[in-house]
Amino acid sequence: MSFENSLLTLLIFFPIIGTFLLWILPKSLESKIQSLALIFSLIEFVLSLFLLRTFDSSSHLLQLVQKVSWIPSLGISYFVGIDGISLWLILLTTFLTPIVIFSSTIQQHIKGYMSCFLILETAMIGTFVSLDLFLFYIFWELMLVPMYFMIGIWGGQNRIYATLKFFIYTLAGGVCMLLAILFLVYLHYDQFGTFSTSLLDMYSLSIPFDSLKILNPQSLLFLAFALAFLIKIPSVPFHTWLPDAHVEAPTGGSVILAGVLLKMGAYGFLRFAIPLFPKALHFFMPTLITLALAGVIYGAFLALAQKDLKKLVAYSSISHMGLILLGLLVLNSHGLSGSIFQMLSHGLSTGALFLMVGMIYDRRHTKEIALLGGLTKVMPVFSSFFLIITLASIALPTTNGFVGEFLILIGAFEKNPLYAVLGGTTVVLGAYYMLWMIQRVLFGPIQHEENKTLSDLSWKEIGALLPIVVFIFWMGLYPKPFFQKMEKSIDHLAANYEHYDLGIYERKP
Amino acid sequence: MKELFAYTFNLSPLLILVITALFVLVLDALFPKGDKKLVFTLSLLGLLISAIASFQLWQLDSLSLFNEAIRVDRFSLFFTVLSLAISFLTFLSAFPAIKNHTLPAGEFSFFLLSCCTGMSLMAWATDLITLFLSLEIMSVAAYILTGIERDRLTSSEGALKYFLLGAFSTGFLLYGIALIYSCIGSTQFSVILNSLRISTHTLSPLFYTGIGLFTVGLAFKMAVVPFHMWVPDVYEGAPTSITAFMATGIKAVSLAAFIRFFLVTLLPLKADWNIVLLCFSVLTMTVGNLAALVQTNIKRMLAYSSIAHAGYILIAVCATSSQSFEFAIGSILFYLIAYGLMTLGAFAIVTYASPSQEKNLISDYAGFGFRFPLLGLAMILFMLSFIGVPPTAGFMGKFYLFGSAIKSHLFWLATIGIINSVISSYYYLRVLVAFYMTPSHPEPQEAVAEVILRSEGPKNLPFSLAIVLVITALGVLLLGLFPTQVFNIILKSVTPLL
Repeated sequence: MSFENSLLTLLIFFPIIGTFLLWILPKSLESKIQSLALIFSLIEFVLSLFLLRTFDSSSHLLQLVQKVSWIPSLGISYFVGIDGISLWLILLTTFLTPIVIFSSTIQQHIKGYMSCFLILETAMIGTFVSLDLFLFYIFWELMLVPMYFMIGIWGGQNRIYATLKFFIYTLAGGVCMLLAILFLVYLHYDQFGTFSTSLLDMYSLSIPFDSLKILNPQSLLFLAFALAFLIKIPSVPFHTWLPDAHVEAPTGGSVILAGVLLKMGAYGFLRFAIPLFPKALHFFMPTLITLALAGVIYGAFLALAQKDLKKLVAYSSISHMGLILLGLLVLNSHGLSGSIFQMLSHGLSTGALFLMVGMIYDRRHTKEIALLGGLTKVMPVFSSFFLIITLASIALPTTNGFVGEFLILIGAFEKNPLYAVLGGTTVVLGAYYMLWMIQRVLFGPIQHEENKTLSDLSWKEIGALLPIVVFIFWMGLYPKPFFQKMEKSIDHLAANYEHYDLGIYERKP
Repeated sequence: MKELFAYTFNLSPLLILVITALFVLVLDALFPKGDKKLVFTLSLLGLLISAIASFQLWQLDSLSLFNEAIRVDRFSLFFTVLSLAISFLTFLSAFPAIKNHTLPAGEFSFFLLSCCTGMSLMAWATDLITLFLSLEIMSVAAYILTGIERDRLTSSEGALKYFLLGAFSTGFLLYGIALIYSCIGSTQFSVILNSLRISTHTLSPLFYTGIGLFTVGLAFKMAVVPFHMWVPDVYEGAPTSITAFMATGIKAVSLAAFIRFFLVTLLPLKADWNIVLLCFSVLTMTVGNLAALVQTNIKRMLAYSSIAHAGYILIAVCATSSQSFEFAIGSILFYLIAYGLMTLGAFAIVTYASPSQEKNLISDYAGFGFRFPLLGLAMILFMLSFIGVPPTAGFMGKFYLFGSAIKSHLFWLATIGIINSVISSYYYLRVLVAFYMTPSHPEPQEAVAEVILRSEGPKNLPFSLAIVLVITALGVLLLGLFPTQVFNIILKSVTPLL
């Protein structure tokens, strides 16, 4: 077994090994737990960089594949691999995790907190690389557990309500998907006479569809999968868990939640819902696009009305994720590549916004916009970073947000100009609520005594934000390397999603 | 002579149990001041030897004994080993209470071993009379075990309730047997099956009435809604280790008898009364879960949750048909193991946290997880397994159960099961909320405080409880990750039923 073949397995299980090491650590080293967790996550990041080196961007096929039989009686195997769609999302995960571990200011039960991040990292990477439905489901549900504890133990006032809502909402979507997976397994058995849960085998199923009846297998299966993913994205009207979870979650939890977990839903559409059920997708397309556009506009209006800084960012996420969903649904290469790119840039900019809200909260112990104001005068460095990141979130040209949104809107325009017009409101409304927020938080006179003595960012905090800002500009100014790695996979999906198939890449000697 | 030897050999698992039971009773009576550890060790040894004897029989062909009164096949041996294992773990979790004389050693061991004998025999029975006898051996011992803490009021109350209702349900069962006998002219399963195979049209309504009454009797033991009313009070009143024993062992073997009689013998009739089973399943899941939502006492909560889990198992019972026989029954057996492991584990933690039994509120566990990190981790595992979150045994169990439902095209039933497991997540998570997310009482009071005052931390965890927790936690995890081997063994034990 070569290094390349087991690289993904190593990436999945390394954080778990790290967690074990944290737990058996001698008492004398307890104070170093955060540094150790940081080291583990940095090693993980370096390992993930090998993906970039070994990934062959001239092929749309699945690479770095590893397949080991696991539960043979049901055809379940440990089957992992990546293509251009999942590559960058893995890197996003391994990039954000060290940052949140580094910037964490939590002191209570720190061992548990760090373990949560590491287990979460395992689950997230596992979800992105699983090519077996069963394995995918396992990682998908596993993600809930550390997040549940993170919000519930280290969260704010109303944390128990928020964490139970988050868990139950997401679990409900997940178990619907489980039923659908079971159905697919038996459908495969009926059609081919063997059990299999491999995604590649599922692509070759012919799932009965009847456009005259709503209760046909393909539609129901699609709805089950789509429900799980729509809840995760979250799309209107399944979004109500998100603001609660975000407001109560500790900073690091919010960053990972907004940065990576929400992308799972969109990724699920790309990998499962769209290629597996193309006919049902077409049938429900109008509904889904309505939901996506409703999310864009409704989320933006909700963000506009928020008094709490963190809630504002949370609702802006709903709006942005609506646009990402729109980009996926138009199903052309512009829309798809824009969507994936926007997932990355949203992960970075919103992650950074949550980090900075956390930094304000650590100093001022409030997230209320009305209690802030005039921060430029006392915290110039903070204000500069905050401004840059907000502008990236609004999608100002030269920042990464612009590239993604622009491509999505082009894609939407190609499909139907109306979509682009409605989707484009995100730019206008986004600028409105974000700039208004900036105006109230950063500028104007200082009205509250407490704000006069706030200290500016420490070197550590700058260290956490700087890598994100570098990428915001890099992706904004020179996005080509990012697109280059994913374009083959996206073109393949856009051209063939109705008869999708994926092979396994064989390295040329 | 040779025949006698053969009988002895085939019956050895049961004989060893009976002999051990009698021996420890006499031993304890003769030396009332003697070492309780000896009684305890001998009982464990008896269970182990009985298990070894069962493994010996595993390799042999199945055969019927005593004019088809009992049948020794892999199915019966599977349930024998399951009962032995559950009794073993129950002994271990009860050991701290035996040591500090809360539980009387001799009587406890005797009745637990007798109960185990009855349980094993129940899976062996292929005659209604044997079935009835084994059920009574098991039940009478269980009534006494419930009330074995004589000084505690709730314990006696539970025992009395259990006895009265249990006796009533046994009456139903016996009357049902009488009616079935009056129609068929035999109590042997094989004769009943043959007469059904010949014709199902000539059966008199009395036969169906008999089956109905019989169902009531067994459903009572399995705690199926609407025959579940006794469960919360009895489970709350019984010593915690016995509660775990009843929730896992008695339920499991009642299902074994149910499978042998209803799913094997009455399989030709299944289509007719499947609707009854479907109602049972839906009601049991839903009522169990909804009632568990509002419980504040952890033992009552687990009692209602055990009702709900019986409902999940009934999904696979409904899904059983001659086409999907092996997989459906296999999934039931797998779920019984998984459920047994997680329930015994969870109750072992409750046993440890509240030795005096008086208070068992979920809120008493505030901050427990951080005080006892390893126990907390184990509880996380058990609760997630109850919900069915991978990679735990509970998840694999549900995967198989719902899989068998989908295979038999019972989509709506699987959907109701799924909705129920989402509902159930709320109350299981609430336990974890108490464990980790509520600050502990500023001034320690109530149950947990007792532990904390008595001891400083998990180093005082009794060794026997530690063994139980290690076995159950590892079992839950391994069964969740590598179910194949166990499932293959289960499939082997299902085949002789066909």
